[in-house]
Amino acid sequence: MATATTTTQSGSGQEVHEPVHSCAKTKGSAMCEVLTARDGSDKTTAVADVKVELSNGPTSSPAKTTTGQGRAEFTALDAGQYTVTIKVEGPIAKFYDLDPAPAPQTRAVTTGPTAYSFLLKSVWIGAAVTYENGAPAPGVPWILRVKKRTGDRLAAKWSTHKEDTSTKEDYVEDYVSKGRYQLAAKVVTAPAWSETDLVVGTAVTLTAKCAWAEDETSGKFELFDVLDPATALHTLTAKAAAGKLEASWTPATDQLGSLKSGLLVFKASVGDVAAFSPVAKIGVKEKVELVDAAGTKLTKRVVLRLSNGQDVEANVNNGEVQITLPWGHAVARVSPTSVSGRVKVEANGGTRSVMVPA
Amino acid sequence: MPDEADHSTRLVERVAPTVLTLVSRARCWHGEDIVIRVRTTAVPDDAAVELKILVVGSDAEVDSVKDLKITSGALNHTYTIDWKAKGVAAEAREFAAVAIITDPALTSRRSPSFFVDRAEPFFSG
Repeated sequence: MATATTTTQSGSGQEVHEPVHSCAKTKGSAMCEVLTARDGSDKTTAVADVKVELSNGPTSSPAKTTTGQGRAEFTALDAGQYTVTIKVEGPIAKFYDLDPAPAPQTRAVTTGPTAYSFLLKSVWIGAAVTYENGAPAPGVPWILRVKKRTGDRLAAKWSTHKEDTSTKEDYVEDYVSKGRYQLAAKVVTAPAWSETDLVVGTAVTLTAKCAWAEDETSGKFELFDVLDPATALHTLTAKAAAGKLEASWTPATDQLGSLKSGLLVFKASVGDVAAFSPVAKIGVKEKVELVDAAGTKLTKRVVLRLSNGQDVEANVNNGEVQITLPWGHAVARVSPTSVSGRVKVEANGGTRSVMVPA
Repeated sequence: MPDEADHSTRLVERVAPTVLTLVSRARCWHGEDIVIRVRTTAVPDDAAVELKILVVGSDAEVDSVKDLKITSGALNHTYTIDWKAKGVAAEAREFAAVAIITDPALTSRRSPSFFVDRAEPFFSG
C-alpha cells in the first residue's frame, strides 16, 4: 500500500503543499516461528533446524531452515494466500511428538510480515517420589527405565535412563527419547516373616519386596538379635524374582549361638538398600517327661512354670508332653500335681530333671 | 509398584515409610544406659525424631527425648535411665520405647520390652 504524507510550510505569505514522498506498492513477508513446549505448559522454547516450506502462493521461494530463534522468513512476497509447511526431520525429530505431524497453515499475505506460528510438543518425562498422601518423599533413590520406541516398535528390554535421589521437586527432563518409561523407587519394602512365632527346626519363609530389582539380582537376609542389629547371627542369600526377595530358613541352634533376647529381626537388602523386618520370637520345642516317684508315666493336665516366669498349660499324655520353650529358658517348676517326682526335660540331645512338688 | 507410562508424562512412585524401634538391653538397673535404636526406610536425612519411654501395660509416658535426627535411615541414641524425678509408678518394671517422626508422620510400634530394676541395691554386710 502506497503511503504519502504532506507537510505544511508557512512563510512569506505563501502556503506550500508538497508531497514528501510517494511509495510504490510494497511486498509482504511470511514470518514462520517454531516453538516447543511440554504438553500443557506455557513455557516455550525456540526450535532451530526445522525445514520450512512456502507453497501455493503467487511468489515462490526456496525452503528455509529455522534459526536459533526458531524463525524463518520469506520476504518479497506478492500479496496472496500462502501455505507454510514445517518438516521436523533428521536428528531433532526424536525430541518432538510428531504424531500427528504439525498441520500446514495457510494465511493471506498482504503487506508487512504475516506470522505463521507452530508449536511442537516436546518429548519429556517427569518423575516424582511421594508418600501415599501425595506429599514429596525426599531422599529416596529412584531409577527411571525406558523401552525406546523406534517407529511403531518398542524395545523388548528396559534400559536404565536415569538414576537419582528424590528431592521435594519433581525431576523433569526434556527432549528424551520416545518410548515407554518406568519409575521405581529403590526401596526394600514389606519385609515379613511367614510366622512370627519361630521354632528351632521348623522352616519359615522370609520375604521382602524390591520392585525395582531385576530378576537374578543378588540380595540377602541378615538375622539379628533385637538387642544388637549390627552383628548378624546368620545370613541367607536370595535372588530377586518378579520384584520379590524370598528365602526359606530352618532355624538351628548353632546359627543362633549368641542370641540373648529370643527375639529376632532380619534385614533384607539388595545392594545398599535395606529394610528391617518386624520382630519375631523364637522358641525351642522340647519333650517333657513326667513320671511319679514310682516311675509311672502320668497322664494329666499340668501347668509348667518357665524360667522367664511364664506359665504354660499342658496336657501330659502317657508321661510325655511337647512344648515350645522361649529361647534361653527352661521348665522351672510343674504344678499342680498330686504326686511328687521329677520331670525329665529332653532337648537338643540333653536331658535334665525338674522337681515336681507334691 | 513402579509407575509406568509412555513419554511426556509425570510418573509418580509412591512409597510407604517405615520405622522400627529397638533397645539394646532386655534388663538393666536404674542409672544404667541403654541404646535406643531407630531404623527407618523412606525417611529423609535430618527428619526430626522424638523418643518416648512408656510403661508396658498402662502406656504411661515415663520420659521423652526430642530434637533427635535420622541419618541414613538410622538413629542410635544412648539413653540414661534416670527417672528419680519422673514419678514412675512404683510397681512399673517393664518398659518400651517408641519413635515418633513428624515429617513424614510416623510412629513406630513399641520396641521389645526392657525391664528396669528400680530397687535400691542391697549389699550384705
